[in-house]
Formats: sequence, structure tokens, C-alpha cells
Amino acid sequence: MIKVQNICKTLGTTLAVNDVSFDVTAGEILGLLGPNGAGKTTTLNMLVGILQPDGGTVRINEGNPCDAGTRHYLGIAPQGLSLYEELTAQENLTFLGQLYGLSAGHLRDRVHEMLEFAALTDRRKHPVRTYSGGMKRRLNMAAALIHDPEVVVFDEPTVGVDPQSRNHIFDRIEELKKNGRTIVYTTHYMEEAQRLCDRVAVMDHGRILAMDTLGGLLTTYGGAAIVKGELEPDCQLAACPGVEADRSFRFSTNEPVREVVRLSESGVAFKALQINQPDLEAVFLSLTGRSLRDD
Amino acid sequence: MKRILILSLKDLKLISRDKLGMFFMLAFPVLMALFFGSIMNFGPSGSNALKIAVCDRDRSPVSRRFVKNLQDNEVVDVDELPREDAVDSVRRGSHAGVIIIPPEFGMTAGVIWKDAPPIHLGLDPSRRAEAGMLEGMVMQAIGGLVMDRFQDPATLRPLIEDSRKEIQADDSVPLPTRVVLSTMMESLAGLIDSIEQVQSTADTAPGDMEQEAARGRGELRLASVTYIDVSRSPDPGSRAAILSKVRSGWDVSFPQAMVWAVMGCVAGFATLIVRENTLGTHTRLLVSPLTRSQLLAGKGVACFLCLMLVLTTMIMLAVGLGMRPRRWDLLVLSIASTGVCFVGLMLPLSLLGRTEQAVSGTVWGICTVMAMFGGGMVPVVFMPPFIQTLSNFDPVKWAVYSMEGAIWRGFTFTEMLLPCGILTAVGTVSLVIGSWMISRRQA
Ligand SMILES: Nc1ncnc2c1ncn2[C@@H]1O[C@H](COP(=O)(O)OP(=O)(O)OP(=O)(O)O)[C@@H](O)[C@H]1O
Ligand SMILES: [Mg+2]
Repeated sequence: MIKVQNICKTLGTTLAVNDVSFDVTAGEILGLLGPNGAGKTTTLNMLVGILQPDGGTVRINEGNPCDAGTRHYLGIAPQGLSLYEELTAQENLTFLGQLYGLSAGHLRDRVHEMLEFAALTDRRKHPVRTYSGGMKRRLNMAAALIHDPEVVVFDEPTVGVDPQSRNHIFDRIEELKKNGRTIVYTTHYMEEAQRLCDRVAVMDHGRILAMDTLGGLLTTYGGAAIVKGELEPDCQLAACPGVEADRSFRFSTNEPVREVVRLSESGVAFKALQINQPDLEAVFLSLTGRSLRDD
Repeated sequence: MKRILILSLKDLKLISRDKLGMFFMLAFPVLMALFFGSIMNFGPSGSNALKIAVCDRDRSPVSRRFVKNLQDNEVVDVDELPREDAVDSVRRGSHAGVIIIPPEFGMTAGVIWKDAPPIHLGLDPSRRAEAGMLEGMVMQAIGGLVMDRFQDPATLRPLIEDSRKEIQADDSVPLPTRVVLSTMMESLAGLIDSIEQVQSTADTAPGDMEQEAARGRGELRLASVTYIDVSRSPDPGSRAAILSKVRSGWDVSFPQAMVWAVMGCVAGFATLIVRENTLGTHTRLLVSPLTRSQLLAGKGVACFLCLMLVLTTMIMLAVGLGMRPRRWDLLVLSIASTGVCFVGLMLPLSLLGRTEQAVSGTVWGICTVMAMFGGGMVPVVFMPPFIQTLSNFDPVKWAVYSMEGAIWRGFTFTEMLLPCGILTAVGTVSLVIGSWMISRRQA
């Protein structure tokens, strides 16, 4: 569905995107994960044809996104809110629907659905400038979906959205996926990538450092799991690796559960046990030597 | 095309919700037109009297009497001026007509048996309808002289004496006729004697005399009227000649205020374009299945429609106040080419800054200077010549000029081609440059 090959882009003096390639198959959700300034937004802008790559190609459904025809299949929820502040939610959605040439009846239905999607039905007649940040975010996503595009691009769609609305949004995105939509999703949040994305590409300094399914990334880059805890006083202390004098222990292993079972069978009794599985944070740390987010 | 209209309608909706923008687009220019229109003093004054310039080259008691008779008439306002000034004043439109009293006037005016005295009239060509009235007024004043002559027989006696001597000396007249005529003159002298006697004993009712004079008017030629030509202005380019076509303050104040409305629209739309970028909605439009030229066209059409709406509203208001464009078709041509020009200028102007404040400030700054030189503040005709020359490089001047051409200057289609051509050319060139700059910035 999406085929990106070796795209590069220099903005000003910064090499914002450096030789990025990826494919997304129909019905798949690809997550782009990276710190600020990694080049996620620039990549997406080239993907939807707003920016022309300095080198490389982008194909959507075999078409060039710079052609108006190809853009019919595309919807984007930009990172910066892009809504007409003086218009109401309903007017914003109606205007965009008209631009995509939806027929009057169909448009009415879609606007209604999208207002529901954004949970803004009762505020639909208020100008957007009177909305809260989270409401605008939700409307921003709805605006991307008004024409029910096959390929949807979400650029950090959940910044500033409260957890409840966020769950509501995730459910909707899963629904989209079920309906076979192809989605590219950028985020800083591991939980989102872990919950929604089939595959995750880790970006930094304009490059994709690694791209795989979540499990694949974790096994390749996440490193070993950490098992720690405390042993019962009268058990086989020597059988367990990494035991201290105070009977607390800490060891790393690639197969923590199997290891714990094996130890248990060999007569080790656990008073307290904690298994820390590797996560994307660890993946990122091991790929870049830096933490993904400063906070 | 449908998509361009959808875009334009969205922009019109946005602009109509911007209260301050609307103020500068409509309310401010209207207030300005009303203010300047009501303080500017052009065209016919409030009184209905016919304003007449009189030049008395005779300066005899009789001609003075004639002028006084005219002045006593309430239908005309009489100003005495030297000959050239009097004629010029009609050419300029300050007076509706001129009466010139030649030097020999007093010798025969009001003497009904002599040749009618010559008198020259000139009339503003646009007021031909009043020619009859003016001539009637002249006759009435001369009729008054006839009456005066009879009321003051002393002035008649030397005339009768002269005539009698003339008749007797004239050999070409057959003797019997001469006898008859001198007898008649003698009896006239006798008649005057008896009038004098009556007057000295009792006041005769002047009404009878007046009636007689009036009756006489129908049968006698009281004056030999010749018309002089005042129709051609000596220099059609002169300020006076130009301003003579202005009929009211609205004629001048509305074109002037309309360019401010135009500039309000330009500033509004230039800001709207930037706002589209700062809000990020431009991103959304770029991703929609519209080409970049359609997006630009949408803005252009919206700005053009907005201009037409605002200008039409102002023209309607002006018409309501009594402004009467001389040529509606040319007025349409004028505002359409003004629209093209300023829509074109709006595009490069919108690139002058990255924030709304920067663009709005810069555009207003530039517009104010353009308005200053182009006659948006002081009409170009009142400017010193070198600024008038400078203003030729100012599209505002041509916009005002073309609107004035249609409204009061009485341009023909051919005369209209120059300002409208310049406006369209400026618009097209800046449209091309602006589109090029915008596409370059986006790349
Ligand atoms: N218009 C621009 N001019 C110059 N440099 C730019 C421009 N836009 C982005 N950049 C640079 O390109 C790099 C990538 O920016 P980009 O917006 O793609 O990052 P991002 O991954 O989306 O970051 P964030 O998570 O903060 O949104 C950054 O170093 C940024 O400074
Ligand atoms: Mg970004």
C-alpha cells in the first residue's frame, strides 16, 4: 500500500530525513517512534506529498502523492492542529468533505459520524477557538477521516488528550484497522505504540535505526529481562544466580519465565519475585544510548 | 471550478466573521465617504435660483437699471463680473449663463420705436433647457426699462428731439413721410408733456403702465439677442474644467472611499493567507485532492468576490444618497479591473511576513502610502504636478481614475481603456509574480 524508498530531505541546513525506506501493507499500522527532531513529521510530510523529497520515491497505491488523484486516498491529522478557528466543528468537517467531493447526503452522514468520533456532537455549533486543546485534537483526527481514506497518517494525535478520550480514540483506531485502513502513526508514547502498532520503526537523527514487530524489536534490541526478588530463608540459595548475602537476588535472562520455573523446580523458593520485561524504552536506549523522552 | 468556489465560500465565511477586518473593509470606507462627501462643496448649490453672470460694458444709467431689474428678479442670482471672467465662470460651471451688455445698449434700450438693443447671452450647454427662461428674464428686465422711460419722460425728450432732427435731415425719406413723422414726434413730445403734468399733480398707478409694457412685449422686439459660444472649455485638462463635471461631493468621496475598501479587502485576504499557514490549515488543503493552482485560484476568487460585494454595497449606498454614475457599464468595467489589479497585488503582499501581525501591518503601511499618492486621501487633481506625475505609478490612482471616469468624468469606452488596461496589466503581472513566489516558497 505504501512504499517509501530511500527518501532524503534537507530543511534549511538540517538533514531532517536521511535515507529512509519502509513499506506498509494494507490494513497494517506502522508506528514511527522517535524523540523530538527525529524527522518523523518531515517523513510524513513527504509521505502525503506536502514536501517533495530531495531524493528517493514515495508510492501510495502505486501513485505519487504529489498527484491530486493519489491524495484522494489519503487523510492526515497533522501534528500542529489544522482547523479553522472561526468556523464550527460542523463547518470545518463539512468544508473538508465538500473538498473531497462527497455528495450532500453522504456528507451529512459522515459529518455526523465524525462528530461522534470526536465526541463533539453537542459542541458542533461552537466555533473551534472556544474548544479545549483535547477537543481540538479529537476534531483534528476526525477531520483526517471525513472522506474515509484508505491511508491515514496520524502525527502525534494524542498529545494533550486526557486518558479517557485517549482510550476512546484508540478504540476508534482499532476499528479503522479492523476495517482494513492502513495507518502510519507517530508518537513519543511507548504504550500507544505497544497497544496499536503492528510494526514499529525507531527513528533518530533522520534515520530509521530499526524496524520490526514489537516482539522482534524487543528480542533483538530490548536485551535480557531482569528477574529480581527475595528468596525464602531455608531454600537452596546456591542454585539461584546473583544472590546477595541478604537473600535478595537480581539476574538477567532472555527467557525469564522458563528460568523462574526451572529454579522453582530445582528447589528455590521465592519470597518476592519481579520480572522486568524489556520495553521500547529499553530498545531505544540500546539503539541510541539515550532515553526517548526527557521527562 | 466547483472546488474553487467551495474554497472561496469558506474564505468569505472566515472573513465575514472577522469583525475588525469587516470594519476596515466596509464600515470605515463608508464613514469616510459620508464624511468627505458631506463636507466637500461641489456642484449646484442648494438654492434653486439660476446663477447668472452679468457683464455691463455699457455702464450707462439705463444699463445699470437693467442690471438692477435682473437683480430684483428672484428666479436668478446675479453676479457682476468682467467679461472674460463671466464667460469662464460659465465654462467652469460656476454660473449657468452669462449676459453681456454691449456699450450701445443704453442708447436704445426701452425705446420702443428704435432698433432693439443688442444683447449677448451665453448658456452652459448642459442647461439648454433653461435658455428660454433666461431669455424671458432678459425681456422682462428690458420691458421694465420701457416702463422706466415713460415714468421718467425727461430722458425721452432728447431722444425724441434727436429723432425729429434725424428725420428732417434725412433726404432719403420722401417729404410727405417726413412731415407725417415729425408731426408724430411732436405729438409724442406733447404726450410726454402731458404725462409730466399728470405725474406732477397726481401719482399715476404704475400697474397700468406695467400692463402696457407687458402687452407691448408680445408685439415688439425689445432686444436683439445673440448667443455667444461658451460650450468649449479652453483647456479640458485644467483643474477647473475637470471639476466642473463633478455634481456633488459623493461623486468625489465615493471613489476615494472605495479604494480604501479595496485595500481593506486586500489586507484582510493577505492576512487570511498567512493565517492559513500559521493555523496549519494550509497543510490540510495541500493534502486534499486539489492542485496548488486551484488553491491559489480559490483565494483569488474569494478576494475578488469580496471586493465586488463590498464595492457594490458602497455604490448602492452612494446611489441611495443621490450619486448618479454617468455610465453603469463602464463602472462595472472599472470595478472589475480594479478587482483584478488588487487581487493580483494581494498575493505578493501576503508574502511580506510570516505572522498575521507582520503581514497586516506591512500591507496597511504600503496601502496607506499608495492611497496617499493615488488620491485616496486628497484627490489627485488637487496635488502639485510632480506628485501627479508620481501617482501615475500608483495603481490606486488608476483605480480612482477609472471609477471617476465612469461616475462623473464622463469617459467614453476608449478613454476607459487606459486606466482599466493599466489595472488589468498590473494585476496580471503581480498575479504571475505572486504565484511564482508562493510556489517557490512552498518548494
Ligand atoms: N521548516 C524547517 N526549516 C528548517 N529546519 C526544519 C524545518 N522543519 C523541521 N526542521 C528540522 O528538521 C528536523 C526534523 O524535524 P521534524 O519536525 O521532522 O521532527 P519530529 O520527529 O517530527 O519531531 P517532534 O517529535 O518534535 O515533532 C529537526 O531538526 C528540525 O529542526
Ligand atoms: Mg513532529
